[in-house]
Amino acid sequence: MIKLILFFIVLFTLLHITATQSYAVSEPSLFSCRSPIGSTLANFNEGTHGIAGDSATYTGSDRVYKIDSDHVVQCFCPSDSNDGIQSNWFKLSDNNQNAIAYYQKLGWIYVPSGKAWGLDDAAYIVKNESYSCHGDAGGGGSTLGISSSDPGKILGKSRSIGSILGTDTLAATGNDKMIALYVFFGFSSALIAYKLAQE
Amino acid sequence: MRINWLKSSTKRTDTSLQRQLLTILFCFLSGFFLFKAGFLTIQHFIVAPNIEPVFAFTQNDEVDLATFPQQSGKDPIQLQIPNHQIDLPVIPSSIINGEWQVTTKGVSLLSSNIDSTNRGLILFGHDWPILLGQMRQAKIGETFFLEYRDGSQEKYLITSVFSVTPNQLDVLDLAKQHTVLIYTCSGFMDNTRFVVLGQLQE
Repeated sequence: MIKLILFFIVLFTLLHITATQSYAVSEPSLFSCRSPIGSTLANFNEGTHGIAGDSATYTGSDRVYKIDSDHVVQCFCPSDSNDGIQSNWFKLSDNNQNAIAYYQKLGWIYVPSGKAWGLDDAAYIVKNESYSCHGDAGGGGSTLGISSSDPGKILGKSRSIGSILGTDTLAATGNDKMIALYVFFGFSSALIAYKLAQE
Repeated sequence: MRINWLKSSTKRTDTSLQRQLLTILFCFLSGFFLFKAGFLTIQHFIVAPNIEPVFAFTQNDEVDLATFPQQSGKDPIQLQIPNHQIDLPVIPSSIINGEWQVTTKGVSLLSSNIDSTNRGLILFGHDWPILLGQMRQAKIGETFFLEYRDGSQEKYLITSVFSVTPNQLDVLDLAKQHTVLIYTCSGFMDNTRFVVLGQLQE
């Protein structure tokens, strides 16, 4: 009987409490817009651009460099000042929630899909930093030929609503799981009470 | 001899009492869990009376309208999908600490401080039969209506229906100008979201 009660308590605890686990994750490499490397994904001398995690509108130049298959850096320079924003994008290999939470604590912004930003349809994390963009943010790499006539598909030209709402999922508009859980615990409790009464 | 018998008797009484208390405790727990499950199930079919949040299944069931800006005449107040007998009030909602507020009294309208220029409306609601449950039968080519505070009404043609996983937030980007996006839960244990896209008809 004691074993049954212990089993019930352990099960209840496991289902209701999210265990805190430690993960050996390291912060992704950061690349600078002062000396950009890689191939040029997009190059706009002027226009309105989006910065991941920021709902404000930014006007100025925007250049995007693909460092490798997992790293992209976006260099934005406003038209009226030298206070630029460099955004380092890192593609996540898996959607480990604990790893994402860890990155978020380090100041990274989680973007569930890079598709709306002209990147791969995979989860990314982004870190925005300020930099002085006077007379730079040009140069390196070869243009991949992405047309600026498709602004909705180029990093920096669209702002995904999902990425600026501050949530990772759509609304939970059902409660089937909750009901199933309550039924399970209700009958489990009834079974334990019955067994106790019999002894 | 008598002392030993007394000790043994007391021990038996203690064990018995503990067992009785545990039995009562688990009976109570059983009743509580089953009542809760029953209440949530009934809630699918009957509009909950104003006794929440005592029986709310999550803390974000209700929406504090006072937290929203002054409403204007162009705010939608009613959603009608005639083919599926859906006629629900539209209630402003938002995301607080990453949690979507979902009303149990109608359909929720995402209201946030993001730039709404060139964006369409995003509506969402529970998949209960009294709310958006029937919407999962919607088909392309059907129509739905939005009624506004100023008395005007707009007709929308359903141009797309599909399912996504809950983490596909980019689906919200489909809500462009003159478009309304509505979604609700679907699938086994609500593991997907059924999305309807409607285009404004002139």
